[in-house]
Amino acid sequence: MSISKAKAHGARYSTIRQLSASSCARLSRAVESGLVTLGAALIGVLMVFPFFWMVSSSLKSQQELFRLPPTLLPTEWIFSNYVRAWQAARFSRYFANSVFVAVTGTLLTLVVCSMAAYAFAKLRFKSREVLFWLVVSSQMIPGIVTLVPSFLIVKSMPLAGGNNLLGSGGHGWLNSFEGLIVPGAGSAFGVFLLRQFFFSIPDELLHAARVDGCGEFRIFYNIMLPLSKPALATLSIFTFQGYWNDFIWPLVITTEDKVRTVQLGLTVFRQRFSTDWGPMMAGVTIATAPMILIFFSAQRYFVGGIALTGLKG
Amino acid sequence: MITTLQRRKRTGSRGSGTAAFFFLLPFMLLFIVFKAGPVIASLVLSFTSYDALSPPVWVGLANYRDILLGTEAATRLFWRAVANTLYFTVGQVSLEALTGLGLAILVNSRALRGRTIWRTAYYLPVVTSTVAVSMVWLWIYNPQVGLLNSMLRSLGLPTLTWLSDPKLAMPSIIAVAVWQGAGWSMLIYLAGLQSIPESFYESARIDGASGWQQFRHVTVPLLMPVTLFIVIMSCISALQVFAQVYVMTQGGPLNATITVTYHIWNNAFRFYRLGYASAMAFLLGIVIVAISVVNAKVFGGRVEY
Repeated sequence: MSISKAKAHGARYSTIRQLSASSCARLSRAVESGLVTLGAALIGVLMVFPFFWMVSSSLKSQQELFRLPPTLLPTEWIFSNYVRAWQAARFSRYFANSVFVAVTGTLLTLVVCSMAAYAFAKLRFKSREVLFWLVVSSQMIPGIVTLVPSFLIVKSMPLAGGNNLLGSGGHGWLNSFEGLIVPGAGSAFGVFLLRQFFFSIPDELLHAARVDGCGEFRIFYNIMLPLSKPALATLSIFTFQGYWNDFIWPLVITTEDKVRTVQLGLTVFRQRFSTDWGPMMAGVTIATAPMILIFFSAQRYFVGGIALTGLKG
Repeated sequence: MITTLQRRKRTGSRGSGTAAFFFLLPFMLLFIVFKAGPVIASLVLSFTSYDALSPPVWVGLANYRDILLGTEAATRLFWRAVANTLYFTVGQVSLEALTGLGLAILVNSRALRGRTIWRTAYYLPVVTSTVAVSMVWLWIYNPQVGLLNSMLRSLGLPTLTWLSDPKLAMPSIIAVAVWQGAGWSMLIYLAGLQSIPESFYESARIDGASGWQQFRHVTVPLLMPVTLFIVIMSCISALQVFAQVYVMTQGGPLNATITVTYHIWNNAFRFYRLGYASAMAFLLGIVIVAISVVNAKVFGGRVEY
């Protein structure tokens, strides 16, 4: 009797001890979690702060921008900086140009690269592997090596911009949308990415379609492309980002406002508003907003794409 | 029998070959005109003197001799640019890898709440354009009313001329590049961390390894290939740094931030020394291709993880 009581007591005691131990562990885990999350939040604030500062500055009046110590948020919210930025230095034109170049460039890249990737993944032809190896290796060649010759080629594009058949006499594709869009569309990276994805689509599916009398183009358009939406989405996001953020190529081939992109527009701004930081930050905000919005709405493609390819922005 | 089979096979592949030709045509045209062609053209140009107005003149190895062994100011400037580019590359690549590793460990921590939010925050600078973020930092670095100096002033500390001090300009540019690139290396490290099996840590714990020892003897060695990959990829882009310099310092003060790509751009599109610029571009290209070949050798030509 007494033994069983003692046992029962002991059991109850150990349960209590376990309980307190586990609640202790839970508490320490909560503290750890709180500290780690606090650290992450502090770093997060630090990383995002320049963007916050950009937007906040764009909404301040000139006097407030020069106030010491600076205010975190505008005391009075001013939207006139945006109006001035949008109207000055043909910024709205630069923005529209960038949208056009990035959208058209992305579409062209998707068409060109998916077609080539289909041939490399699913069609048999002579020296396929050698050719593919050549294309993939070309990715190693840095842009700076091809910059000067590409400029000269664009300048002497035959029968464009006043050029004759031999490509002399005019300015070719300089200061043109073709010059901004076309050279970037043959992306070796795009072919590589899509080919990898096309491999995952079983050959049996294509064979069945061929037996049913489908031509290669219908197979490509009606079977491959619809099945490859995730890969196409990933490629279009990276391509759009590439066109939107590109700087050195537009800098080299454009000198006229009618074709200049928004990144170039920002540097024009810098000369125009050398100390007028309000409109300048408004311009920068406008120029970065599309990429930030795309990033937030299509995050999984960014994260998945980077992890998959290791592409360095 | 065999011959008919062979013939049929051949006709089959020829049919497929015609289709392949049309599917490849647009890409190969662009590839030849804007990639393969320019590489060869760049090499040819580098042996000429060319100002884009009068026809190019063949000068043999003169450009390379001038670049590497010349005594004129342009040569000294080239070597200055090489030194600056190496400074930038070493600083940016090492700090970016370290920061990325720290962020990845933080984001991978099981104790962390709201993982996706922080990952998004850290990655945000990567997707924005270098020109735009350089403008924002230009404002933050502003010597009179910029945020950094205002903070220093309110703490009663002496202010700094971030971008116009020859000693401070390059570190200031590196800081921006590290801030912008850390999210990228975080993401690659994160994939690496998640591929380390939990059992490795369990057996280390059974052997009595502390948290630091687990990091030192399990995480770091197993992440070595990932680190190498990050370092190589970052080197390739850091060696071509341009937009930050163009926007923030234009190579100044006193050429303290002039980089090889900026120097090439200057020679090609300001002074129209296209042959000379091509030779420099080709030299930089050789260095970068060599690094890429190491990359391909180490990772077996794979870019993915």
